[in-house]
Formats: sequence, C-alpha cells, structure tokens
Amino acid sequence: MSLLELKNVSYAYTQKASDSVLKSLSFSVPSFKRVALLGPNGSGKSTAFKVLSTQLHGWSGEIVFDGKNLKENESYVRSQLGVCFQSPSLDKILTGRENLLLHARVLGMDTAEAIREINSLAEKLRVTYLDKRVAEMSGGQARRIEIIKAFLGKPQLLLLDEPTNGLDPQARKDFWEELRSVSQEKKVTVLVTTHLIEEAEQCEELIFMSEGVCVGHGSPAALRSSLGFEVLQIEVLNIADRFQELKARLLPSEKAEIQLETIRVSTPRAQELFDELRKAWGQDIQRLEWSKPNLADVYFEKTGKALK
Amino acid sequence: MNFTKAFSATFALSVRELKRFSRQRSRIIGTLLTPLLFWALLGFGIDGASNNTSVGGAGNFRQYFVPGMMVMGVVFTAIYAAISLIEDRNSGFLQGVIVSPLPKWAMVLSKILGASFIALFQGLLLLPISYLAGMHPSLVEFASCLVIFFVIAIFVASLALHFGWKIESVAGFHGIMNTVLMPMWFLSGATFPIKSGALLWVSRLNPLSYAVGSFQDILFRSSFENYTQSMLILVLVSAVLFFLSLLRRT
Repeated sequence: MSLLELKNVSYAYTQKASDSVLKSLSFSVPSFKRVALLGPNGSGKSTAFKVLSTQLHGWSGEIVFDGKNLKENESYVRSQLGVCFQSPSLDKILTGRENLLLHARVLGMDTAEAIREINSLAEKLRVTYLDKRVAEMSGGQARRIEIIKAFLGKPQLLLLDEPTNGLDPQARKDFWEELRSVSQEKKVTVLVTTHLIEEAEQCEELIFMSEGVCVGHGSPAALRSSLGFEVLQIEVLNIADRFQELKARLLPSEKAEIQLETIRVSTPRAQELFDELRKAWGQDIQRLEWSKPNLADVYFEKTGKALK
Repeated sequence: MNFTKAFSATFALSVRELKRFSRQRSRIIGTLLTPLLFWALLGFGIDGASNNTSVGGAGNFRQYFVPGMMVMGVVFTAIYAAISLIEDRNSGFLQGVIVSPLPKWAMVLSKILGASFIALFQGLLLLPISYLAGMHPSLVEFASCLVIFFVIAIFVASLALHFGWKIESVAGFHGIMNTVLMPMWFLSGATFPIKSGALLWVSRLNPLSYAVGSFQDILFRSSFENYTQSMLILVLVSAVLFFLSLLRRT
C-alpha cells in the first residue's frame, strides 16, 4: 500500500511553463520502505523535496498522503512528516538537547513525552553529546541530532534531502546503518533525495529522476537486471580518436561515453566486442574490463546522461 | 495543532530568543552600552554647554534624555530581534519551523514576544539610570516603566518584522531600519521637546512619541494621566503591524 502518491505534479519557479522544474512527475512511495529519489543536480529532486515538505506552493497536479489530499490537508501532512534538510536546521547557539526540546514543543509534544523520546532516540543513535552546543559539534554529530529531530513526534514519513552531504565515508556508513535500524524499528517510511549511487544502494526502492520526470522506478536489483546488457570499460591510448572509431562499430542499441579517461560501453554482446577490440587495438589498450551494469549504467541507459 | 499547544510553542520559541541573547556577550554589551554612552556623552555634554538649563519639564538635559535613551535601547533590541529572523532564515533554522504544523501567527508572535522579553530585561538594567540622573521613581512607577519597555518592543519588533520577512541581507535590513526608525526616534521628543508647528503634528502621528511621553509623564511628573491611552495606541498600532506581517509572511 502506498503512503505517498504523486500524480502529474508540475512546478515552475517562474511564470513560464517552459521553465518547469517538475514536469508531470508521478510516482508512489510504499509504506515502511526506504525509497531514494536519484538524479544528478538539476534533475528536480530537491524541488520535489520542497513540494513534499510543503515549502513550495503553487504546484499543479495531485499529491495524496496517507489517503489525504496534500493541498487540502497541509497541516495534517506536516504533523506526519519528519524533515531533514540538506543544510543544517539547528540553532548553533543552543545545545543539541535544547534544539530537540524546542522542536518537540513546535510539534506540540508535551515535555515529559519529548524528554522520553529524545533520550530513547539518543541511545539508539549512540548520541552522548546532547548537552554540547551545536556550534561545538562536528558535521557528523550535528547530522545525528538532525536525524533525532526528524524522528521526533513519530512521523509516518521521513523526508531527507541529500542527508550525508559533507560527511566523510565512515560517518556516511554509520548514518545509513543507524537510519536503517531506527526506521525499521519505528516503522517509518523514508524518502531520500540523492545523487550518490552508494546512498541509493541503501534503499529498497529507487526512483530515477531526470529533467523533472520519473524515468525509472524499482528495486536496485530489478533495475540492474532490467537492462539486459553488460558494460565494457576501456582505457586506451588516443582515447578521443578511438572513441570515434568505436562509435562507428556500435549497433544502434549500444551506447558509449567517456568518463574520467575511460570509455564505457553498454552492450548486449560484451564478449564479442571484447574480443573484437582486443584484436583491433592490441597494444594500445591499457585496461579492458567487462562487468555487470551498476545503477549509474542503468541511469545512463534510461536517460542518455551520466549520473555525476 | 490546537491553540494551547500553538501558544506553548510560541512561548518556547520566544524563550529561545532570550537564551540566544544571554549567550551572545557582544549583543548584551551593545544593547546596554550604546544607550548608556549616548546618555552620558549627550547628557553631560549638553548640560555643560547650557549650564544645566531645565528642558521640557526635566531639571536638566541629563534627566530629559533618560526616556529618550531608554526608547533608543528598546529600538536597538527590537531591531536585533528582527535581524535574528534573517539569521534564522540564512542559518536554516527557520525552514525547520516553517515545515512544522505550527501556525504562521505563532511564528510571527514568537519573534515579537522574544524581543519584548529581552526589552524587559534591558529595562531592568537601564531604568536605574534614572536614579543616577537624580530622579526617584517609586516601585509602581518603576514597574509601569517596565510595561512601557515591553509595549515599545512589541511595536518596534512588529514594525521591524514587517520589513524583515522580505529582506534577505542583514546589511539591507539595517539600512531600511535606520531610515524608518531614526527619524521616528528624533520626532518622538526623545532628544528635544516638540511644542508647536508641523513637527508637533508629525510627532502626534508617531507611535514612539506616546512611549517617550509616557516615560516623561511618569519620571518627570509622577503622572499617569495619558498612560493607559498611550499604551493602547501602541498596542493597537502593533496589532495592525502584526497582521500586516502575517500577510507578508504568506
């Protein structure tokens, strides 16, 4: 059953319809799942986040949350959302605990209930520095406080906008482990916007976004296996000339691009092309690998654009 | 969210303003020292030059300038409170409140009440200067002056917030506030008595005149004759500005 459903949602920051950032965006988010909105910068995912978190108005289409129309039940929807922004939303002059208690009051929670919930979440997320001022916390520590803040008030849906922005790899890993464990325990649906493949891999469902529309939806495994092709990665001398030469050899269903001095080819006949190129380019080849597609390949196949 | 919970959240957000104020030493020093320095420099300077001549019902300029100095202090406090709105927006704190179920009026009111709480605290520290200037307000008069502090802060914060919602930078906000509030302060009788002519009419339209007038009545004459009326005028104008801020916020 879907907790959230978007039907043909469009939004433009200006009056011109041609400037639309969201163009008839439609997707649904099933209850109790972790879902990622994946797309490069400018694909419209942050605008979708702003619409869903009720920061933006004036959009067209329909959004249904928990069976209720968002436009007509904005206050109810807000009371059911836990929101974690890309940029920090904590008061740096206050301590972590003061920030959380204040947010609990803003949500209408009573103090005793708020203290209980804050302590329980802090224990689960291994936060031992609640009484430190936010200004004195590291980025990762402040992020954890933001997560506790988002979980306060028992929301049905947690909205996270690029939640691990600015965190180091270890802090990122810890963040996802903790988010997975707490969201499962609290039975909270999670919708994350991200441009990072490794972050999207942490979710059970993915929604690919490109130019304001949904171009693919499914589990990471299903999306990968939907391709029906494999990937060749080639590092070769005279890469620009070789790339042109290779494009002339490709079938219409095959795609090639240069990424970081490497030619990537999506092809259903990887073995054949592998042998062909080894013969044709011989000593000029510095690396030639053949692998299963990753989510970036799936995104490229669906949009013709690289996920950077 | 029901009214009781919304008001409780409003109160919590206003207390946050007081906490922020108490943890920013430079802000405390600025809001107290600026009016104090103005009072000392202008008071002793002008009294020295005019041989302690009595002014507008006060024994000398040092006494005359006490109400003006206090109003100036509150004006600065309320402006800082509205600046904190811009800071909240730039630091990201405001976005967290905006997506919460809290009604819009509660958000606006919390800023106004926050400024008023700080003004009360400021009043407690600035009012004793009246004793230094040779005036002796009774306890009732002292408490009534604190009420004026509270009400002026409501007025100035409402006015400042009205502009603050739409201004992106602190520097731009300062510019607008100086242009609006400095003439209001000068035309309130804070620095010189306004007795006749066009300026008198302008000062009657100026809400700050009622605040300065009330301070002067209490401190110079121990009179409460126009006190209630003046406070009502300030509250009424503040209410109008509050609703205008609410419209601007939407």
